[in-house]
Amino acid sequence: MVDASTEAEHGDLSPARYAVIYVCLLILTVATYSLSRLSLGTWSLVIALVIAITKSSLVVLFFMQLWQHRGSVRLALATALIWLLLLTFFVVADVRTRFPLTNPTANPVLDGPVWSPGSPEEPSRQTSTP
Amino acid sequence: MLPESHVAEHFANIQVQRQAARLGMWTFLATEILLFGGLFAAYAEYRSLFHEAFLLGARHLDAIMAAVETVVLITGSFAVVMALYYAKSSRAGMARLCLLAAAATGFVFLALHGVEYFHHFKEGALPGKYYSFAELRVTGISLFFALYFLMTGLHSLHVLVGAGVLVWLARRALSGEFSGQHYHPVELGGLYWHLVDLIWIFLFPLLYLV
Repeated sequence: MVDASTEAEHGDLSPARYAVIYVCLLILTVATYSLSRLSLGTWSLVIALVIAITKSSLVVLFFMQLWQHRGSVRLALATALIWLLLLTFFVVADVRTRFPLTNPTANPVLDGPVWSPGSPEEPSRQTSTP
Repeated sequence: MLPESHVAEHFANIQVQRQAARLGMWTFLATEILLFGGLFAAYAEYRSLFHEAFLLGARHLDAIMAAVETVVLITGSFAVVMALYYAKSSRAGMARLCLLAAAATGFVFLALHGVEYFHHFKEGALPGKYYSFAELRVTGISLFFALYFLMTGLHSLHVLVGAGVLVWLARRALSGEFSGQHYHPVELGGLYWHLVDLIWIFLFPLLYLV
């Protein structure tokens, strides 16, 4: 039988280590906010996602203790993430490769109450004029 | 020797029971990820279709407020981690304090989000056909706000449930029930709270920043 004290401590981080991870998460939050204020175009989405994935990895590995809990619990998370990636990938791949008229962007009544023909902000919609 | 009352009859010992409870919780969390996953997929689809609307919508939202909310939630996660640490070292008072602090961050988060919602209701930046915000007119903007309210709304609901669970755990912690042998209620409640934090870590940049 495992001794109560060693068993509880096994693989756990010390409060100081948890505090370090907490500070890292705060720094990354400030970083993602500051970087988003720069105009980086498409890169801003990539940077924001990289930071979000880094932050979530810290939470999952250390706060949720997957660093020490191997095996089946990791499998549960991995399964969810793989399904999520498949879902997102194919949904986006679908709308990006369709014949344009089948996309909702080609539908002028989509934003009925808002859309006004003379509005200067109106985006170009060459594909539609039913 | 173990306090046998914590081990159910059908488990060989407390380690087996703890692993079963943990796997059960992670399976539940996986379904939660997929629940939000549907919304993230919808976000990806409509963002790729209405790119301009999503950029303008994100710029209109209050990113500073959201950054503060992020800090609040991360602080809550840290408090939960410390609660588990104290529960394992049988320090009931500190465990209870940390659990209550974490629950408090949840309520602060909800209050801040309430302020945000209030502003959007006032200006008419509402989902779908209820959208009536004259200053921001671009095709697809009502879809952005539909997703904004759905994603943050579902997330806030989870914050509410999570905070409730933490308060309940804090009450149990007071009786000194948790120890190095019996701590899995705190661990599982904590996992749920971290998941709420995790979802927000992605909602924050996607809705407010980019």
